[in-house]
Amino acid sequence: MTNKQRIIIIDDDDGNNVLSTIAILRVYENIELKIFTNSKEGIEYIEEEYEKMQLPTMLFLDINMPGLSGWDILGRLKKMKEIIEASFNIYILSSSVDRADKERADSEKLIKGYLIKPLRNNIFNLNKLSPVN
Amino acid sequence: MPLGMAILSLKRKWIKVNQKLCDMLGYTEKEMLSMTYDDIADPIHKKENEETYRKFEKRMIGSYISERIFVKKDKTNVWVNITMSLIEDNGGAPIYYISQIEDITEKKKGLKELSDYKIALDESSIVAITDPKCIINYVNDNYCKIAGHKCEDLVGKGYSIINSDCNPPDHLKELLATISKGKIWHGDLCDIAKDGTIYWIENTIVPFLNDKGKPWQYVAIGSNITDRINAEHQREKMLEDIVQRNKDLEQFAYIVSHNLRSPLANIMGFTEELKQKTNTEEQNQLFLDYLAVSVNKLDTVINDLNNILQVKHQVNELKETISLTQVLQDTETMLSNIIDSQDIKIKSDFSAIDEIKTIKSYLYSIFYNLITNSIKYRRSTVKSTIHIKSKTLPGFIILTFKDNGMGIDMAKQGENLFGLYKRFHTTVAEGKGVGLYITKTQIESIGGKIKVTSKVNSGTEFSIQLPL
Repeated sequence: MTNKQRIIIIDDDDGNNVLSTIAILRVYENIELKIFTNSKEGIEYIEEEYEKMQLPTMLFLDINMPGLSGWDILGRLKKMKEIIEASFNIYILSSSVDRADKERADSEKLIKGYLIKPLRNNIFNLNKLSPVN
Repeated sequence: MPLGMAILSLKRKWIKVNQKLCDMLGYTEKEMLSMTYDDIADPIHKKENEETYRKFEKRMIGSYISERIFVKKDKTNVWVNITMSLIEDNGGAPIYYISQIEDITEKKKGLKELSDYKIALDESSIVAITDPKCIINYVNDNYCKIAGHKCEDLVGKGYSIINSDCNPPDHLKELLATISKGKIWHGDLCDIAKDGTIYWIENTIVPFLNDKGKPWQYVAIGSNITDRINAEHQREKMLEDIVQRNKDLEQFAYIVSHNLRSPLANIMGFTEELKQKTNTEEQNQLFLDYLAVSVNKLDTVINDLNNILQVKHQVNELKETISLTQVLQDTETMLSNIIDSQDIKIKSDFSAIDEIKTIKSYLYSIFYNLITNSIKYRRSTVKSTIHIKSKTLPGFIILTFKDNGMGIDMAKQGENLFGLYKRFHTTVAEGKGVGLYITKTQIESIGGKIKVTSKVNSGTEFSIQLPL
């Protein structure tokens, strides 16, 4: 691999982050994993970091969070659309089985898929990690 | 207009008649002179006529004016205004009558028509007539009946609709502006009957103008539309209820799929991980710990849901008179640990009103939730103070809870503030987003309202309006 690859999780649920980490490490090796339980810190990290240097990144985004919700985060990401389209694969990772949530995710162009928690075997449904090439 | 003129003998025989009188009655002069007054006068007034003759003969009167019906030659009637005067000779002895006779048939017809209109109007409508200052000069029976007052009690008073506060002030302003300019006003007005019930009238107010075009009286003609308005209000209320129910259901669905399913997803995940044969002892312990956390979380959410659903069914609980001072004291005792350790100052002023008749458990819950809220979201940089105050409005009590805490960005979060499981401060761990939701639901279920004003880093004020 020429580039290091990165996975970011933004989810306020500690327990779920443990499960997601286990699932990710089962499938991917040699990745940099960053977890944010505070959604505001998560988006601020992305906004600052990717201005400087861009890495192929997979983002797992929860919806229901205090302060900034997953949809709020998505709104911020749209403001840096070119960087996101070039470097990011965004997946919603939510406990919700409500069809309205899935439909909303499907209608968003930046979102590559909708995963229902817990992240486990459904991780095999994902696109290849690298969005470019 | 020429008048009919005649001279009658003391026996009331026509002695001299002018052409106008002959034309009026359809007789020739010759025919007239062969007849007496009583031959032409309708017998309907026979009694009054005889009384008048008697008075003339006894010299009690010298002249007499009356409205009488004469029968024309063609047997049709003519209404006349007749003036009869007794003429005396030099010695004072009566010699004959002289009389002037005016045909008032058309005028009578007009007046009759007018009075028929009035009867029709009074029969069908609610009528009030006021002077330009809206002082009532006349009200008809329908008006008095619906207002529940005796008619004589209303005359001379101000038009009560102007004073009843069930009409929006702008509406009345527009009404007065319209009619004082001499223009007709149409619209719905409500008023309060003597027994306190509210009724609605669809009104047309017509200004009667003087020669200068200025109104000298207002005539209000209306019909009772209370039933229709009540039905409309009921329909609106039902619609509101349905919309609210739908929102509740949507929110419930959201809670089920996010807040209920979230710990469940973790339970599913950790159960799967626990099944892995390759786990170390430490891994298994970690998974079990997380499993326990998730199970507890699930239990909490179910308890919250239970509390929330209970609020909607508890409204039948009996209302009792409660002292606000007592409620505050008890709440402070309940929270004494945190109030003392965090040095929270609570200042209260219930001098305006201290007692309220309401559901006790709700009032305690409202105090508990709002005070806890202020404590939770205090600012560490200032000494936390909570001001609680009561005041009265007609029919209502207003309670305000004001703190100097973190505040909320109203533009961003205002509409979500009372939403279930909505949390705004990521730094405050205890916030579950249930307290304000329950508070609002409780207040609304006893017919009250809650409003909030807030400024970030300055403080929050909750204002509660409860019915007395």
